Amino acid sequence: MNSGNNVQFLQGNEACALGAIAAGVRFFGGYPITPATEIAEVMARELPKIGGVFVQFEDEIASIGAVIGASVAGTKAMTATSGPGFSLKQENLGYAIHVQIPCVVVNVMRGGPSTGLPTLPSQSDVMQARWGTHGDHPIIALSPYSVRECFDLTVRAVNLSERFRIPVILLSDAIIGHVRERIVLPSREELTLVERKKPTVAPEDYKPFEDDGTDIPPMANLGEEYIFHITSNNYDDEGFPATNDHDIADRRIKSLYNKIERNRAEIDDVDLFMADDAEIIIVAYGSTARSARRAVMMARQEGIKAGLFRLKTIWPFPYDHLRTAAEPAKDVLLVEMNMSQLDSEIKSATHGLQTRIHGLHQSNGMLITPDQIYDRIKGLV
Amino acid sequence: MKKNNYKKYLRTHKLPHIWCSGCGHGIILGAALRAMAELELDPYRTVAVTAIGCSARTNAIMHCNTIQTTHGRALTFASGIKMARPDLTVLLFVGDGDGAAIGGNHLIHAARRNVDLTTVLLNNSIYGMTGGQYSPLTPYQKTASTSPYGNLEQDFDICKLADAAGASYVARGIAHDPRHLSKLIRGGIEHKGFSFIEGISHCPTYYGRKNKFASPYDVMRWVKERSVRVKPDSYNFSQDLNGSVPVGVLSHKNLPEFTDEYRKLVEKLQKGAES
Amino acid sequence: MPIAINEQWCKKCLICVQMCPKNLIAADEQGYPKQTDPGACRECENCAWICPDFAIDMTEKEKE
Repeated sequence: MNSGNNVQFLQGNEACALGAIAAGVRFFGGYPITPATEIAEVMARELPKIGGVFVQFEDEIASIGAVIGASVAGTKAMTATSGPGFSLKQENLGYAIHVQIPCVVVNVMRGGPSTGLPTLPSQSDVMQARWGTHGDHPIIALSPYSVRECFDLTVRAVNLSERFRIPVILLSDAIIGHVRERIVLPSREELTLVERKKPTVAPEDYKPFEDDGTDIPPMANLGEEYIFHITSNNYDDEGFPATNDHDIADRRIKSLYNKIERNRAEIDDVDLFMADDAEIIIVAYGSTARSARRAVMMARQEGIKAGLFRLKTIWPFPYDHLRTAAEPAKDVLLVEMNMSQLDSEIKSATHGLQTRIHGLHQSNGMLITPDQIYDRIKGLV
Repeated sequence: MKKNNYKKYLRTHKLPHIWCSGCGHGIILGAALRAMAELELDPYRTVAVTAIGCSARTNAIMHCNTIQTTHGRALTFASGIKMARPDLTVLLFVGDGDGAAIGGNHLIHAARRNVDLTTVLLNNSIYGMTGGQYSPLTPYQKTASTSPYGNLEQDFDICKLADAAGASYVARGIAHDPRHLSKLIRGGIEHKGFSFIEGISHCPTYYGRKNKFASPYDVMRWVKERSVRVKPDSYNFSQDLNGSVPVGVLSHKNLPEFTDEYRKLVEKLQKGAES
Repeated sequence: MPIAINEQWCKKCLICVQMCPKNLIAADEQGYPKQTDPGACRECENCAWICPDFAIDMTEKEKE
């Protein structure tokens, strides 16, 4: 199973692992959990062949801890899990956000809460992806809706994490993770890979977290010509604790936010389908967007101007893109496999517009079908 | 005897440190720094990993690469560092809370994997940073802010646990004998595999005061009087030293080391791929 | 050989006083340890090893 430019019949989880490898991931820490385990199994098989390291740890906390350690040591690193493991990883995820350590965390969402519906899909960890860890913090979360996108968005997740020195979450789900599709994998030459920005100052002048004007401090790796300290506390430019310094705390949290906000053009990523003249815009992501796409086509055959606004980045939420798409439309219908988690984002994006906001939500482990969405569209006409 | 330039491994501009007057942690760290100096470790290729608590403040004043992590998770970060970069020397300084409470599961599994890490557990039998609560290593009936009527729980032999989990080098040293402790830590660093060294420290501010010790030295002496030196390879964990605490190299085994095993696998697979 | 005590780092725990085999260290009025009789010091370095603050050094004396 190589990732040359060839036709493959792959499972979403497999494509995710291959995408990580293609993007340069050479360390994977994992722990078995349905429906994400195949990612670990592919990594266990493929990484040692190319000099990478796969380790199954004692729990999900250890696996992300090791991923952060490997990344600080200069290796692109990833972990994958589902809801229960994603909950366990939150504290260390917050560490990586705070201390700006690139890594990718895949969450193949399943029915929650608790053990819930382990083999069935859901999209009910979306808000956890945004606010799961404590404290103010930015985050980037992407959502694939096909096996090919499991490959492409994992590559993008690795690139974004290296580019912005931030953990990136890939929000897949039990359908996308387990469905098998015929896909053409891109060759290495077609991919552009991003490496973390390195310091260029002399070792004695190196301040690990001194801003160079981009809010993305250059990052040295362990064992190179730089020596540095990292603390989990609020930190000064040299990386040492500044636990009573309000000015540094203020500057630090704003810089973490600015790092993302000033680069939205590069981060926000949506896919519009038949949306230009749409009077009814469906907002969906992940496997639900597959049904929405079908429903849009069914509606168009009936002369109903429906369109799909698909979120490829969920966080930061692409408010501007949605506002532009929703402005001419009469109705926006948010479709999610949860009890409604993104509706407040939709409302704030469309605040003040004439557009009416509706929701089709279902959180029972069943994929929302095209017919369900189509019937709802007809109800809006 | 060549003068031991251990200060080469100190960030002197970060001193004085923040430990309380008479805290044993500086003694334990001093023993470790002197071991590093004897081994002439390259600060650029050495990583000291800590987590949260008084023990975590060791690496802020150490001159080498230093990573302070989340409470109890130092061994997971350190495992990732060592597994990704086996060429680096990775040391850990954890507390009895880090190592025996929240991080106990990680200690068991890092030891079981026999990853080439050297973990010094600074055991002051209390959570000092948060104001003196009892820990898993606080002795039975001792007083702490959360055991005001005396600790109802039994502590346990963390060295015996590390050995049972698979650590291939296990030792215990005490603050009262820093030269001996330094030799034990040096042995751990030289050992290829998971080295676990319990350094019995002391907390005069909370443990000492709450348990009626007159001075920091009194706690050190109390520990010394309860301990007994054992000769390497003559001790096994089932021996009962009628209540005395064994000090020295407690076990030393030859077991496959994780990064070595992984490297051999990679080489085998890549050789297979070529043929 | 006299010892040097860095009073910026020393926290006056006086463990060194207890550990000197020849009782050559005592607290002064501010509570800082002081070597009472440098000549009698056998350079055993117990004090330097036991100092939790890294504050005690053996002063360099050119050895013949």
